[in-house]
Amino acid sequence: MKKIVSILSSATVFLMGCSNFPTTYENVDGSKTRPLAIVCEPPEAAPGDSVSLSLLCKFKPGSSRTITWTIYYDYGTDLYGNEIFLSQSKRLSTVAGTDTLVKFRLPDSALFYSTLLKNTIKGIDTSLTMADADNMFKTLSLMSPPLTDSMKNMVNNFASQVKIVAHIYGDVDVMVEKLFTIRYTCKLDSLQTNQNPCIRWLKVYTLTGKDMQDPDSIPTHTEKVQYLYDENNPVAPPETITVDVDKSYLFVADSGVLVGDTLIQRYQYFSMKDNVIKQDYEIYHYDWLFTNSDYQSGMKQDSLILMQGQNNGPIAGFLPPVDTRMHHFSLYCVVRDRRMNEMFSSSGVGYREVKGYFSYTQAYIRKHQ
Amino acid sequence: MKKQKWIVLLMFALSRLLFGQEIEIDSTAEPELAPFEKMPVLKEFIKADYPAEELKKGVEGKVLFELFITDSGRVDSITVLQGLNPSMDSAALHAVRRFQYEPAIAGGVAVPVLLQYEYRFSVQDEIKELEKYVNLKGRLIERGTRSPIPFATIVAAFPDTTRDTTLRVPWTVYLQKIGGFEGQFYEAGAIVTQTDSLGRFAFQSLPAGIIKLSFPVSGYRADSIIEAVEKGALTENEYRLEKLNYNEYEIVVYGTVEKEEVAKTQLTLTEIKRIPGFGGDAVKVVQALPGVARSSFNGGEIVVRGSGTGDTRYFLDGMELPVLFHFGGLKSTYNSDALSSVDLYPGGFNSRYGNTVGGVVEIKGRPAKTDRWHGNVDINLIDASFLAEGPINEEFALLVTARRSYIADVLNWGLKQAGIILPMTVVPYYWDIVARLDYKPSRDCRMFLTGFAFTDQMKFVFSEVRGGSTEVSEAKDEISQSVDFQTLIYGWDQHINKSMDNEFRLQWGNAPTSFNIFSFAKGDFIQYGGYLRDEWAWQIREKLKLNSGLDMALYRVDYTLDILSADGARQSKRDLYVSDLAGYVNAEYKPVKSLLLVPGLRYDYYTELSEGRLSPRVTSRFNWKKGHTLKGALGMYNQSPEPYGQAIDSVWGNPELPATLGKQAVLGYEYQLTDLIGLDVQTYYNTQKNIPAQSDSFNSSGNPVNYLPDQEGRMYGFELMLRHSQSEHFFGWISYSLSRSERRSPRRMDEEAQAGSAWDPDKWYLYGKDKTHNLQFVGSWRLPRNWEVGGRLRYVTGNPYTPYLSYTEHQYFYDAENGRYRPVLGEYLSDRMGAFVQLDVRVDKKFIYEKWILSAYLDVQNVNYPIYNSPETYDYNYDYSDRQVIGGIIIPSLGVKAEF
Repeated sequence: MKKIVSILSSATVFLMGCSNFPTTYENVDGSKTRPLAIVCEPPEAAPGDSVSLSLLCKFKPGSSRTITWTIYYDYGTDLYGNEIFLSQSKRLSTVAGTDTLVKFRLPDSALFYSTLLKNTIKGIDTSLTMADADNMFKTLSLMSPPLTDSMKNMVNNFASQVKIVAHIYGDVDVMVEKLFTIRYTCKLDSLQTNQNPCIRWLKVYTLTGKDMQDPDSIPTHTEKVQYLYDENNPVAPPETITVDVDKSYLFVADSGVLVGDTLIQRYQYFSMKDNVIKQDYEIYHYDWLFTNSDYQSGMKQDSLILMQGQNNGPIAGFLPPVDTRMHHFSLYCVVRDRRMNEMFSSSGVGYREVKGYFSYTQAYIRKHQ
Repeated sequence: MKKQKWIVLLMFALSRLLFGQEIEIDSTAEPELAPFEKMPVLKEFIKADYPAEELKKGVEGKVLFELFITDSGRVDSITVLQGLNPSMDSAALHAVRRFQYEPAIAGGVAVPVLLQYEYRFSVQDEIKELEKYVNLKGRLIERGTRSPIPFATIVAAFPDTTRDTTLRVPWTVYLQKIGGFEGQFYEAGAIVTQTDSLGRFAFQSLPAGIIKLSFPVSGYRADSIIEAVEKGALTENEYRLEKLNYNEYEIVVYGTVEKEEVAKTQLTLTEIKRIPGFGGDAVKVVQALPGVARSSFNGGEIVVRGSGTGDTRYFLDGMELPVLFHFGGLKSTYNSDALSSVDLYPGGFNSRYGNTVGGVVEIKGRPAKTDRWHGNVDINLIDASFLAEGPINEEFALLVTARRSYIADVLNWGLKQAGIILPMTVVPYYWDIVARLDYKPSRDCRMFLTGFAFTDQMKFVFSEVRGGSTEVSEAKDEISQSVDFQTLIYGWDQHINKSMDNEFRLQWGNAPTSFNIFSFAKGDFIQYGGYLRDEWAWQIREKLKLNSGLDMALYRVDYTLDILSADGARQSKRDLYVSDLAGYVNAEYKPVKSLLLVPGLRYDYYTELSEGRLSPRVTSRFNWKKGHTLKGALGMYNQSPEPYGQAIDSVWGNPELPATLGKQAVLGYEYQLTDLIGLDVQTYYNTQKNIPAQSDSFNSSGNPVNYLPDQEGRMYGFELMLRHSQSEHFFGWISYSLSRSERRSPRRMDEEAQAGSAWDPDKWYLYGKDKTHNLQFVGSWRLPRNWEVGGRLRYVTGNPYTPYLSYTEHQYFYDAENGRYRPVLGEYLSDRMGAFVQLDVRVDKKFIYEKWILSAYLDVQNVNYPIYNSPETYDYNYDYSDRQVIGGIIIPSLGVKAEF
């Protein structure tokens, strides 16, 4: 308790004492290699399934690199999330011609390596072997009559997380890690199986008035909506964004109305607290990053696009460049889903990259000259 | 002739005795007369009317007469042999003429005689029977505080000596006369008296007219006042003197107050609150003493001699306090205005205290004042408070104080003015209240009943953050914490006889606590129960005193803990009894005058652990030379495992944890250099074992546990305190601590390590709160006109921290699962941040009014910030390749206080 009190009080002063530390998190400026995500397709799989892994990364132009891929089949954390197991590694081979794409087949014995799962099985019945359990759940998942929720939950929990590591040796030494869930759930006809979310469109909203980055401003202040990407018309070039004075601008992604297997999936989990099966919805976390392609040495960081607010939702406010020599930009949007209450879950990842163009009104140019 | 002469001389002497006048036989008497058998005896003396004019002038002297006394004893004729002046001669003649004598006897018959008689006019005789009456009285009190000024000199001088026309005698004579009255005296033309213990005084029989009263009292501004005194009428007034300096300061010399303790520091009462950097809080001053590590961001944690933050216990009047400070360090929960002292025991303390392997901080409430009702109102940027105290009757007195914070409003206003928009809403507040009733039925008995309650609530609401699971809490966007505490403490001190005293304390308390961290963790605790301490002190012999006592705490703890762990939301719900049922004894033995030995023994039994522990301890002091004291202590200590509650929780802890054990050894030396300057140096070596450390393993029963008692600690160091006591203008001290605190564990202590260095189970690693050097200069200067300025300068070794290889070696780690970089850690706590340097200044000014005092202060912390920003932590950029220093900013604090 004293520790918590101390943390809270320190947090207060810390926040008061923070100055504006110039972070370039959103600005992928090409000065060094920047990993963005690893997309596993599918985001979870059963033993014996094929999986593809792709590393989404903005490499430093012109730099050489080597990437090694490793999977750790025995991985586990303690109750506090601290890593306590990391073994049974296997090097993965990349698809010919690329070092960012891996395709491999999960071994049938993929679940056998997990120490956590072994301990769980041992806790249920010391005479039960992993092979027996694996066989039982595999059979259960393939049964033709629909399973009850309790049985689905059992299948769901007979799972392990494995760790995938892409180690990049290049202009920087960076390890990129992603968790991956192995279980038989995907064999069931159930929404329980996690799917990668997708981004079906990206838009720019122009709002009348300054400082209107609050999403609540959209209904009353929207002046113009422009597509940067539209799933229904993927080849259409992005529209030009005209920047003017006294306007506010928002990037908006497909905000995830529940449709099929894309966004905001519902899932069920076993509540450790109440000892019952419950349902919840995934939560989503968005990353918004950009590259200003016309950036020239000597331009100030704050003359680039400046993201406003927390930017972890589907709507991100931004301030357009103040240096009006900047026109071309790339926008990267990564969305990850999370299941807070589900054991051994790993996140699904969606990604969209678009290019855009800023033009400026004379009034804006005059103001920022 | 000779005989006759002899008789006449005898009569002369007798007459002097009887009347103060001279009688002399007439040298012309006939020698042939029979010898005198009896000389004439004055039967009736008639007092002459002192001529008023001559009396007023102070003319006095003798008129010599020759009287012819007839054989019937009548004065027949009078001749003035030597006169003074006509009016006095006449007055005397008129009186003497009416004298009546018993006639002289010669030869058995009455005979007429001639006598010489001297009539004396004496001014003193005229005022011999001067009437005594009080015609000027009053009370001398201190301006502002209205405290009585005892035993003060008051001088009544008389600028106009002619005003009183009723005086019959000369002025000086009159004053000299009344100067002889009890309780007053004459000096240099003035009458002087003194106040009693309650500041009261009275003048008697002062002449009427204008009187100049002056008050030459040491420590007070010289002042005088003109009073008009009437004859026969009483003039009564209250007089207020302004003190030269209202900035009283009391602090008892480090380490020398409690002779049986080796390392006790006592801080006493009020003006210690004026030490810069503590926002007027007396309790926080312990952080400026040797042996106490610096707390981050000036917080309230008390880390004593390298022990854990939970290893030091806090007491209020001998009863345990769960939380010493509001908001983890802003202000002490018990209003400093209601305190009498703050004691710090950094180590080596005797068997009175238990359930701790670190130190002890004991604060003591003070009884209410009994001279009159007092009050104060204190308003500053953080909170506002009031205090009222005074006598109910001769036996009962009451003190009440309450405080409420409004820091959130001030903070929001300040941020708004500065144009700063935080990504969160801060909702903090606290309040506290103390009510203490004192009862003193006799000199040997004192009782009190203290009611003390407080609430702390802190909440950060991040509107755009969506935290953990609704399984834990619906409030996913906030960090919040709430602490409530209510207690009643009954105290009874009884002096039983000249060799025995008893101190009894009984507490009943209730402490609900809750917290929520973004719905990743949520807890609700309630602890209620009682605490009893009964200590007997028995002076067995002159050289031996025995102290023994019961120290018994029994609480029931109910709690619910919801934590979102790696495998989903878990709940732990328990109710259990926890206790420290202890008995202790120690003996203060003085085999020789200069040596004090205090061996002691203590037994603690912890219900929650089903374990009891015996702790032998000994302390000693040896005054081998005047002003020089050698001291030492050795002892064993133990406590219920920390973090309290969680450590023995069946889900989040390990119910089989044993008590944490400690050993402490202290050696010290005191040297009183001058009356004002004292030096205290100490060295210590402490060890701890069975320290609970996080683990994910199994206990002896095969059950999974999250703590194992396999961490060890060792702490050693050197401390110095050079202190200048309060002189007329200055007090201050230099404190220095050189220390090292280390831990050893068979398992990693760096919880977040994922790709860091190897762990050596045999290596002693630094403790996270370790500070090698802690040097502090504290000083406060009194200036004229009730100004006071103070400063506090600190130099402290930087915090240990685990270096980020991302920053030092450019090794990066991107967590693609969560979309963020994480640091690549180096060896655990193998590096240190930059040194911590901070200068705090404080200015106080008092405005003294007749019946109240207004104080204003400005306390500015970290004035050196623009020059040097002391790192408390580092703020790293997104991939940990760059960083900036985060330190405390300049924090000004402005406040006013009105005392009535």
